Amino acid sequence: MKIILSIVLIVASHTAVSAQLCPTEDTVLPDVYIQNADNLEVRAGITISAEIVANMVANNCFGSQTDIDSFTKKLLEKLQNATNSNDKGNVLELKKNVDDMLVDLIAYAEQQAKMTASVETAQVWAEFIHRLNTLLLTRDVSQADFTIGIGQRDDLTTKLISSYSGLSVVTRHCPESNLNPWQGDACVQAVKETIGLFRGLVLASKVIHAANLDTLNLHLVTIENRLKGYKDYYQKAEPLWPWESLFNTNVVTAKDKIQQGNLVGFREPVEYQWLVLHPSTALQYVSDQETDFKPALIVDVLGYNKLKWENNGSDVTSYGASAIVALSEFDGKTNIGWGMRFFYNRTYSFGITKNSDQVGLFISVGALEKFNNWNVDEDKFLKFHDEISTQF
Amino acid sequence: MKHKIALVHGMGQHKENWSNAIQTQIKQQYAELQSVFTKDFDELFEFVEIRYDNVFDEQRARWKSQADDVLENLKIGGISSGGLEQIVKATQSLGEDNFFTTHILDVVLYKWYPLIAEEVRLNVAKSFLDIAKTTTDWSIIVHSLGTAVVHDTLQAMFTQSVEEELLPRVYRPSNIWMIANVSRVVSENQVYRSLVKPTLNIAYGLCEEYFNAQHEFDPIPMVKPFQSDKADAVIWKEEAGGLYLHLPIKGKNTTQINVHAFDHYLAIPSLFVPMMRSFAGRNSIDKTNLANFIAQYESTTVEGQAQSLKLKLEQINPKDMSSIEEFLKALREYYEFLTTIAAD
Repeated sequence: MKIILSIVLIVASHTAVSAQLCPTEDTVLPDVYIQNADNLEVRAGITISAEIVANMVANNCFGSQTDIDSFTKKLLEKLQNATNSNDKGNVLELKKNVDDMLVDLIAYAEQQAKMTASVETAQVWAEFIHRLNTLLLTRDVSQADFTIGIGQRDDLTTKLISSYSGLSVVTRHCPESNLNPWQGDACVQAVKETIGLFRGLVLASKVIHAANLDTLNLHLVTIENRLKGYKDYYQKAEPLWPWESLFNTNVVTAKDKIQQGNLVGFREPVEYQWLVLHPSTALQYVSDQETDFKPALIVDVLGYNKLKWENNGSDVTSYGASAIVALSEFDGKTNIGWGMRFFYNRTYSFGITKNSDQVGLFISVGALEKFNNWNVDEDKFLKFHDEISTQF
Repeated sequence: MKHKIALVHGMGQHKENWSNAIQTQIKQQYAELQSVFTKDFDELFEFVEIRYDNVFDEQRARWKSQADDVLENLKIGGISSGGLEQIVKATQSLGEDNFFTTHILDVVLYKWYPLIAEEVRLNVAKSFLDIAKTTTDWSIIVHSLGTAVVHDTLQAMFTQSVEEELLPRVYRPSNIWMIANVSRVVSENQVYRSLVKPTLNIAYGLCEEYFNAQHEFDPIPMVKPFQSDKADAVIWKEEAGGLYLHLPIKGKNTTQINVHAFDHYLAIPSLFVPMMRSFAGRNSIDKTNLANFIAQYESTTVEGQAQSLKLKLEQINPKDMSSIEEFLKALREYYEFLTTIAAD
């Protein structure tokens, strides 16, 4: 039995388990702070009590799931409902939930403001209430920055009133003693007020986050559509070779909005492509050659492909034409012809070439596969070739 | 809602789960330093792996497939096209994996192929929005080429108007850790004039705190380094409002030849300690653990070799400190240096 117990203890010692770092009641300081007070790094100009409050804020003790506060628990439930409404795409319900939460937060702030003994904290609450009321009326979030700290969460300043510091409020009312840093009614009151304030700020940040989820969704959907558009582009636009992509740089950047040397937003989808010395292969039929379709190298000397975007940029249709040179081998001789190629959604590509007195018709491999699926009569195609040849 | 930390890679091949080793390294170092005053890593934070290398890989694969198709049909048809065939073969070789195609080409494609760069940014932006949707608190740790990608993505995200609505800045990241920052040389943007700067007022910047780490021996961020005394840099720093921290890493902090590597940077105490403090608070680190951590790290540095390494790496020293071409040259020479050392 002893051996088994020893093994359990050894395993436990290798698994880091956080101590109880958040209060289980508003005014009860977790033991870890008293037992390890000497190890706490206390910034110059503040007392250990302030440092402990800062540490608790850094550990997400307030306004989060681990908070013991009943108001927090209720608000977080409403927040979950708001998030669910957003996930279902119900913007009206989302906004209603947000309005409810803003009203709750204002009531909470008013109650806290009444209880506060500190003038500075009361000022922050007044600004807090003012901004939430403005938000309720205007939905303008441009000034709604309720985040805590300047970069670091344990800084305990607020962006509502830049001169306010939660650290100095606690420091002023709490003793410097390491033995019991939360001593005296004034200190406990200051700690409670400060914790209440930072709880309110964290909750306000979360509500404002939820308040704009519909806008975030709008942006997310736009980006997802653009990414779908890219997939469609690679399937249906002409596949550009590396040098052609470089040649098309201006096409891509033509609509860029630039401010102070910086791009504004994402690029608009391209509306056309230039094909330049674009090699591809096709199956060519040339008259007077006693052979079936044979592979030919087609080089688009210069071509233009129009891209038409639909469904908010997620689908594209492409069609274009180019001047081409076609190379093929018949009877050990290289035949060079010139002509035109027409293409649609990349798969379908047809062309006609002329080489001295011979006329060639070609079709892309992809299109031929499609035609085979459609049971196109090859004899009819050859008859069509003969008819075309007489007119060329 | 945990604080989510987006990990963004640099140049080179990064398959799915590329960040597993980095995540383990950060968690392990956090645990080694952790004081009794901070919660365990997983209670406070959650990593999100961001990947954009697939965009480059897919483009290389498309070019290879296109070239394969043409070459195969030329063979079947017995067609000889001379020079054109050589160009097609060169395109086909982009599908092979070597330093040029997996590293240098990443930079080339991002810098000179705007359609591909945009696809990279859209992928990263989608990941960022997915994060911002689920938490009020998120940050970014990014390495090398990723610094330019992250910069450009944030700039695009927060200046993009959709149905006349900008993305509210409440969704901005808290802290951005730029490691081996190449954004000034690779980005299309004027990074000192963009919105990507740390500000106290949400209206003026896209993060709260901006860290910039650069190793003394690392030649990659040496061309157009982020930290400079140019007038526009001074204005950027002033506008940043004091939330900018430059971390020049001394050469003695070298534990491997590849000084540019992401994991090499993250192991450095003078980088990792402020990083952990920025995420978990100043009391997250235990004094005794810190002393042990530094001692352990110093025992692994190549102090004796550091000077000779410096002399060798100084030969890469770019002449023109402002051109992307010089940057690519430095990149190639750095790879050749690593290869030579490996062969020795």
